[in-house]
Amino acid sequence: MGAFRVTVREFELTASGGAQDTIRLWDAPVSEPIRNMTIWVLSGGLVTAALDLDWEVLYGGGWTGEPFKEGSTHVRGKSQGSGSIAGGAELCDVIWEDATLLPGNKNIPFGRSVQDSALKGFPIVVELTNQKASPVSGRVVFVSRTVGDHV
Amino acid sequence: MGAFQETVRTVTLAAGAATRIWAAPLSEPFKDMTIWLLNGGVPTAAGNLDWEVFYGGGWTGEPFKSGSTHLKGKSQASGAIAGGTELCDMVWEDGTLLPPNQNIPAGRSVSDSALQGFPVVLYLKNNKAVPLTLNAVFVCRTVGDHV
Repeated sequence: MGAFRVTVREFELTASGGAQDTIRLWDAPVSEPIRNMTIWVLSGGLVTAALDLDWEVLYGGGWTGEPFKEGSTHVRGKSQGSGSIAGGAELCDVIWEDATLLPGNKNIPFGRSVQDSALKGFPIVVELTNQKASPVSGRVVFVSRTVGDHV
Repeated sequence: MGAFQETVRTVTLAAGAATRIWAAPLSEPFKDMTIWLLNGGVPTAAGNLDWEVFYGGGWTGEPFKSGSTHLKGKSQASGAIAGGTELCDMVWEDGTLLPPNQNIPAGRSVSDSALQGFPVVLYLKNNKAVPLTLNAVFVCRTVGDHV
């Protein structure tokens, strides 16, 4: 059996309507199937005002640049769930759990375009949109368990 | 697979006093978190204790150090234990997979640590006019290496 994995992605969103009030973040590439995926959104005590943050979890899709690279833009994917975190003064929410067996996502050759990568790989993506008139920062934590070699 | 982990925090609360205590830092994801409040058969008077469980938040000093002050965090549940002469209560269970909390570099302030770590925190307040000593027991199961 494989090990548990944790991937932490930090984000900073501008106020709603700003230059970057929406972002997509994704789990690190995995060469093995995974299961027991849990996704958290955390602010860690920094938030001082009420929040209004939309989230959506997507499987699949592709990139307009190099797959999985920070500077690339992820597009499309199939929505698994969505919601809104509003009214609280702090983020610390499980937004997604999936106990099914999910395929590895590392088998996308670097440099493939969105048209190519959309046919391969299995990225797990979180889209966040800040609906507030003030910036928000925090992090998304992806936790999962690898379950063997990718065959 | 990982092992079960138990963290015991002994705390003495003066009359009307409140405190926050937390589980030991973990470098692995964990699950099956259970929190107990026990006084081990040595109560001196009927208890009247408020409790609240928090996830997240940060410290004004060095994270996870006993001399630091934890603040904020998101409330998971709260309640009161009153009237009994002995504490032996399970106040919290969570079967979900939780991220580890050991990846906060020592010396980080609350502003820095807010970007990392996942503390499980228990707030306690003694509402009686007499001091109270008790143990808070955090039990969880580590589930693999942090990679």
